[in-house]
Amino acid sequence: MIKNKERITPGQLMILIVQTQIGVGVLFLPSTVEAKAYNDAWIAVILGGGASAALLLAIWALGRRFPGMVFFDFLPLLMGKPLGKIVHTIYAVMFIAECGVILAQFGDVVRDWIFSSTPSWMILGLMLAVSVYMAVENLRFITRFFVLTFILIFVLILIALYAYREAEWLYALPIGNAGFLNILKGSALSMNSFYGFEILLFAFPFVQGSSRSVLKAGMYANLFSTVVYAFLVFTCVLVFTPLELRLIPQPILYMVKALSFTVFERADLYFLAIWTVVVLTTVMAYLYMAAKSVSSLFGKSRHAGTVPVVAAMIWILAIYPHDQDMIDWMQRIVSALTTLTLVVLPTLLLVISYIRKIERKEQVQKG
Amino acid sequence: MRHAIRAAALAFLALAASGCWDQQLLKDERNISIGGIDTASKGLIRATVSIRDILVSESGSKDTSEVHSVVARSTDHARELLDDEVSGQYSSAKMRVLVLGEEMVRSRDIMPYLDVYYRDPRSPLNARVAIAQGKAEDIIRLKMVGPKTIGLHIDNLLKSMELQSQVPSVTIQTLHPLDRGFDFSLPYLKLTDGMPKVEGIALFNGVHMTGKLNLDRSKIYLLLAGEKNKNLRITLKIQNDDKDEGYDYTTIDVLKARRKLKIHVDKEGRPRVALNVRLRVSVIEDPSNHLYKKEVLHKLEKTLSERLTNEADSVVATMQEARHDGFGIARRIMSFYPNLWRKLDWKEVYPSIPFDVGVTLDVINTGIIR
Repeated sequence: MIKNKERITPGQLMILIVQTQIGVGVLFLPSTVEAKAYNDAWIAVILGGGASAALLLAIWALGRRFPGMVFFDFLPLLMGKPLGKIVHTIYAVMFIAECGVILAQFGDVVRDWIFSSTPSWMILGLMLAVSVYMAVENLRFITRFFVLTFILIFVLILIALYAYREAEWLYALPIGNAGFLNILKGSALSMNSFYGFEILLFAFPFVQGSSRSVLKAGMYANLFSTVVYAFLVFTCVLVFTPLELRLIPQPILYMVKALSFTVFERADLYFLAIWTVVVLTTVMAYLYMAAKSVSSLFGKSRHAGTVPVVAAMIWILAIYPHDQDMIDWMQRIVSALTTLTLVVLPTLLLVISYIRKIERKEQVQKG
Repeated sequence: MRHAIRAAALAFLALAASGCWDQQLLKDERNISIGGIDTASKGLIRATVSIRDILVSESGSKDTSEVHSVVARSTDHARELLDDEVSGQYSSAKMRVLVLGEEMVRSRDIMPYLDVYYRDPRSPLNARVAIAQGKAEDIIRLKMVGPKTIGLHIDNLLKSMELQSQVPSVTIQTLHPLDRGFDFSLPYLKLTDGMPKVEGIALFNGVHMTGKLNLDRSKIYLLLAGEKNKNLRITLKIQNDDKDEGYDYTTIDVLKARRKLKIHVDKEGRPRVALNVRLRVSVIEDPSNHLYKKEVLHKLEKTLSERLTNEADSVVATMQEARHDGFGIARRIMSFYPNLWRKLDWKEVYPSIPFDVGVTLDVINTGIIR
């Protein structure tokens, strides 16, 4: 049973989802999407947001049919025990790998932009140490921390707003230049940044209130992330030409780097300092999800003991790649994994649940 | 006991976590304030920098400037050689101005030499860029102008010129000329009687300097480009008085400038540019007219707008001659007529595009007398 002190409100759920979604992608999204969708990258991101809303809906529909149960509790009910265990393992591997890739990308940015000679094992170790500290707690503690740091996302937007001084509106024209196919390709690439909504798989039973309010919170969260992403990508499209964006992997940092205010210079350092916290929340959430799935794989009900072990695995995974090729290679594997676990499987499970009419009959409680 | 262990652990962490891998102490660094790149023989470059130092003595502190010059293969090679020459750690993170020699920008592609500025996270992307007549080295070798070091002097000079809309404000960051659809122009410095002065602006076609405008015309250029900064004053000759030349000139202060740039494409796919600027001005100096009569005022407005239109036409002609697309006509065609853009041979077409330029103006005040 879920204890009362572990429950979160729908409002907290919204912030939990937003903080898990918005992470390293903030920096990489503009130039990755732009590589395919050119100056229509922002349209691609909005489409990507729409797709992630659909996936969120699938996860919600799945969770609604099993009130009071976490995803891994009802997985065996849908797929049978042996198959359920295999799928469960895939999910655990996905969470660990995704977290590793996020940290590897983070380490890369920190090396390129601030600490060129500090070894990445140190920086990533510190990140993970803080994350472990938080992830051993229950969902409510984590969510409270996320709510506390939510305001930082607005600070990032504020810094990015200043770049409009150098914006050239003509770069966004002609709209639709890239062609529909390329925009779709771009939005497929943008999906990576929208992952994080899967935290609903874990958080659903902890939310107070009706399942409608859960859906509402989830949709608002996804809308918020979409708007933030689309805004940042649109800003980059206005500031840089397509050719420049291809050369600059982290365009947002690049455009704020040259800003000089009366009192301080190098706005990119301020941006990075805040962005670190935004990434940290994502790492915490993934560490939590990874530890939860690993501990329940071994039939443990508490996840706190698993967290350091999982963190060590993630740490090794994150410091292993040492050049862009290896990170790309890891990213491809993780993309395949996430597509399987977050796009294919939830839809499949939902279909199974509807066709075989499997759901939890008794309502635990309402309201 | 428990607390003591915790405190010890915390202290250890604080020491261990705040690593010193990346520390760069200001006291070890020698910051350059101005850098210059000139051509040297055999495809090499001559890089000249001025390092600013502050001498602190009993009578207060005094700025000094130390100049070094090397011949190098590339910008970063120059950094290496300079680092061997100067005491302490060489750093260009605080560079304020980058001066390029005229020969450099006329004969060579400067982009390879700027690459390191775009690549290095600590590079001074917001440093101003200017062109020097002759060699950049000669200007930097001045070391001091009055009480100020040369770097500070040129930086302040350019800044105030930018505020008066005499030169465009360009930094290394905004220079990046990849596929932008417009060409940049840079302040043009000249050494006259041992003083560095801004002579006008250098017009670029792509990465090469192809022309220049003097200060009077650079103001018109900025008006037409829609880049009026805080102030913009123009003194124009409006009549020809044989007896007393003092009465010939009128000075106006542009309060507001609204620019309209439209591109029309005719049936044969030939672009035509309509460029209209509407100014609201205040008359600062006008010895010949007494503007209490409406007719006199209107006549002055008419004369002024005719003069400005003529000036504008000649500025546009100079630009086209230099194949310099400073108004971003190319970008507009890319954005509004993408199909036409793919067909155009822009380098061929641009110099012959017809421009319809018009400047109209309203006098809205005349100072405290009429």
